[in-house]
Amino acid sequence: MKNALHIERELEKYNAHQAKGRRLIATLFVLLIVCIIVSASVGSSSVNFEIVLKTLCSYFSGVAVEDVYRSIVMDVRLPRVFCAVFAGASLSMAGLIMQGVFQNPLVSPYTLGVSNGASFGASLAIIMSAKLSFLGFGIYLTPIFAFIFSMLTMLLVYTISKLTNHDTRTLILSGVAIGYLFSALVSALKYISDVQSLPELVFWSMGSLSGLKWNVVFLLLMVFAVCFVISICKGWNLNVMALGYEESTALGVDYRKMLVLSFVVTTILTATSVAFTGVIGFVGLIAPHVTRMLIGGDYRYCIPASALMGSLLLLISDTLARTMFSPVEIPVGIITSFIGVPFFLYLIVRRRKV
Amino acid sequence: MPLTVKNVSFSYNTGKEILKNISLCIEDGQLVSIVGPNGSGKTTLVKCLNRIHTPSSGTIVFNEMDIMRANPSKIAKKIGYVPQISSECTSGSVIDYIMLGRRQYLGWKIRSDDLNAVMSAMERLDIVELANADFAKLSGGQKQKVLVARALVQEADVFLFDEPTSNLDIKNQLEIMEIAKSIVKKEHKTVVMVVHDLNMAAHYSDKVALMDAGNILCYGKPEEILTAQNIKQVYDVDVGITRENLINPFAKACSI
Amino acid sequence: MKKLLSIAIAAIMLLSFAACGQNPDAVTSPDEETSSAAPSPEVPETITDSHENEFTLPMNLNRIIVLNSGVYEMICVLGKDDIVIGVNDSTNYPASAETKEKFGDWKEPNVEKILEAKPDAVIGYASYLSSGIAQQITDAGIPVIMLDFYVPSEIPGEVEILGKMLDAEERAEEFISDIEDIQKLVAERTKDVDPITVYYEGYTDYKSVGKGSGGTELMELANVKSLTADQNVEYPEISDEWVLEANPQMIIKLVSSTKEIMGDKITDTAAVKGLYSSIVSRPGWNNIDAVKNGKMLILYSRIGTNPLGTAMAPLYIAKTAYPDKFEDIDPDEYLGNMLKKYWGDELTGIWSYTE
Repeated sequence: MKNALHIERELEKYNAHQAKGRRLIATLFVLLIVCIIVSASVGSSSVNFEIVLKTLCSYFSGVAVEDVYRSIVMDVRLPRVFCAVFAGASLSMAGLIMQGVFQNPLVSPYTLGVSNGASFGASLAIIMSAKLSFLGFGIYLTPIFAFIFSMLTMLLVYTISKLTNHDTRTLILSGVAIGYLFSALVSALKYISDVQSLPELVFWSMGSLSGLKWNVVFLLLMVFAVCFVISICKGWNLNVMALGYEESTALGVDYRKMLVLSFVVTTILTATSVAFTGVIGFVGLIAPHVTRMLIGGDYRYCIPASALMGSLLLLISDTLARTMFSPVEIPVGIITSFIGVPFFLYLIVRRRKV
Repeated sequence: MPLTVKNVSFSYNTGKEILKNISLCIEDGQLVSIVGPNGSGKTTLVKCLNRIHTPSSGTIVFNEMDIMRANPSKIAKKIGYVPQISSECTSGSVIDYIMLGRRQYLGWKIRSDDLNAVMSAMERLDIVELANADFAKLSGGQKQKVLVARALVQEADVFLFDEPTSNLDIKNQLEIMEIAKSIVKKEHKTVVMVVHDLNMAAHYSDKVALMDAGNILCYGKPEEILTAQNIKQVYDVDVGITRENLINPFAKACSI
Repeated sequence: MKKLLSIAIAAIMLLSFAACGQNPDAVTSPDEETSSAAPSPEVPETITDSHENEFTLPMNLNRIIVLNSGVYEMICVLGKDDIVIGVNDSTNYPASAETKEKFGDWKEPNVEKILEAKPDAVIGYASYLSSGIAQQITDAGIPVIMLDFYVPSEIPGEVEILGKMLDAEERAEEFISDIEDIQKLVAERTKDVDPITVYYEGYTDYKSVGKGSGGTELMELANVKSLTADQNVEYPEISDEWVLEANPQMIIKLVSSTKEIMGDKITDTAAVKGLYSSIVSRPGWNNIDAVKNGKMLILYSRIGTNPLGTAMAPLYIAKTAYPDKFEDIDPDEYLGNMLKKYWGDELTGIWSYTE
């Protein structure tokens, strides 16, 4: 009798905890909607909330909007806002999965060298654009090269780790080593590049969301959606994987298969967003951490929550990046760190106190 | 439904042979202890039984299921596993931790069946009050019980225990052994356990396998196996054997 | 700081320029601080580089190393490339550069190799050459002259210094006066116009030019109004929606020679057309007046912020901006003359592009 009471009490507590996860997701979702609206209403032109609303209404009713405003809203601002949303979500989700799989809180989506590979590809495309023009990629030369080279890097890392039966530690070490190799190659390219190409290389390596069109938004959305569905379906497996190889196997989860799957998912997520936005640091490291600190490690809740958290962080950062010194834009990576770090430190300190 | 191990060998990539052509038949409803000196291959043998390690040759069959070929999820439904508690463990609530044992039965959402199974396993191990505690912050004995609970919710027929008593005080050691015994006696399930403490093995086991350097030296009833002569041969120590049946569970350790 | 420096240099330059003219008495400087720099017959004449190092003339240079491609080009224009024994790795123009020994990077050249070559002087890239390396070379007793050659307002002064250093003053003066003639022509034709607004973009997308940059000066010379002239960052990244709303009447895009889509050796316009259409098709740009009216000028970097560009870029910009004022003027003809006179080249390839 006493036990039954106990059990009931503990179950209540447990359900309350689960509800907390759901509540956080709901809260973040509402916050994101608010941020999207705010972000769409500010910018370095005079387009405000009213004009955005009018533009959107003009598609359904006869409200007239000036062409310039329409194109600022529809061609520039909204694509950018949604790029921030999906790129942030992709990076954060990739970071969450990697931190879980590697059981290492210092891991970010870039740890295995995806970003270095992408940087090398992009640098190559920038410097050699003249000799590569025969490929006919046009303005997509840099993203395509960035994507291809990040994939090649991952293939290399994967092949090396395969020699050791996918030991996660070897995977990290070979990733870091290959990453250094590619960053050395990027440095070499920077070194031999002249005063004319250098600014473009530096610009790319700091990351930016400007000039992206709807087709990029849809591509990012598609990639994110597919990876999101896969990861969330594998939520329980990811939870089990946190126990490491032996216990996962004992609990019936094919650890190596999951490792490969996570590897593919995180690589594609990261490579796609890096290819279009350049190397935006920190989102993939901080957002998953913050999420876990708030609701714990159940991936079924963490995946959506950290995706939302990443979207929020990148969207807020990018909105500041393009409005703080308007019309001059500052690299968004600087802002993600400026916002992310204090918030992160605050959470660490608060948690230590409790 | 015996668990049959036939001609199993195992070696790591480095080539060193850990298990040498081992054959063993574990009967239903028995508590089998595997004893032997450090490095004799006890833990490796147990980890081969549920394919954490894949033997380089040989066959393992349980209840007409070829363990060597079956996929992990099928094995997990038949064979539960209680690992050694490790120093680095993930944080998260005890319920969540035990729930992972039900991976093979869970849908995406946690159903009440799953919660009931978890709660009754906790009730059985008398750890209900830990349900919402952080696993990482528990004591060694509590952690070990949580791990046993997690294996229980796997609803398996065979339970593998990997040195479940090694870092525990005497009270906790006895509690864990009693739990293992009750799994065998009350539910007629099989427990295969790696133990260091020969006293424990002698007292609780139905059968004992004595291992040395990757071989099973002998396998049989505790009193037949744990003889002064065998112990001298394997551990290179001289012991005297006394047999007492102690009633008080907290003075149960029979002195050898 | 840079501005001050350039004013100081310009002032000194003016004085020395006048001083070496026929009539030194004509120099009447009301300015106290600069008058002290005025040469007198007893004090030997000096030049001052972009880092305010003074060098006494004549320098009697017979073997020099040049670590700035713009400077090397100018030395060739002055006909003195025979005294250059080496250049930095990326200097590959004019053709004689290929025969020169290479001394490493323009920012961090190979010091040991330079010291071993024992040149009479090294000319470094003022804004970029590593100060540590410059110091090492100076310590070894080799003078390091720092020149930039990318800020239009400083270029005449720098050409002047080069002329004095290399004992080619006449040619330098002729070059400067030819540049100034073209600048005067542009100023004359555009003095009554209502300046149109221009969005200027460098080699990188959305990177424009702000206060004190070479590009801003080129636009001032052409009497067009740069949208970003007041930005305090030298090379600001500009928000695209801001450009859309500002609705520039003209767009200027500078193309790096490394892209190989424009230049003296490129005759196929397909690549530059591709660039043109990629700019026009940026999100929302079809609403910009400049795009609607086809007022977009793509310039090759050799007529950008460098000696030749100091004259030619304003002419091309002004011609595109105010075509009716330049009906009788063909910038290509001026470019051809300059190339022929100073580079010995015929005008070939694509140097500018409009539609």
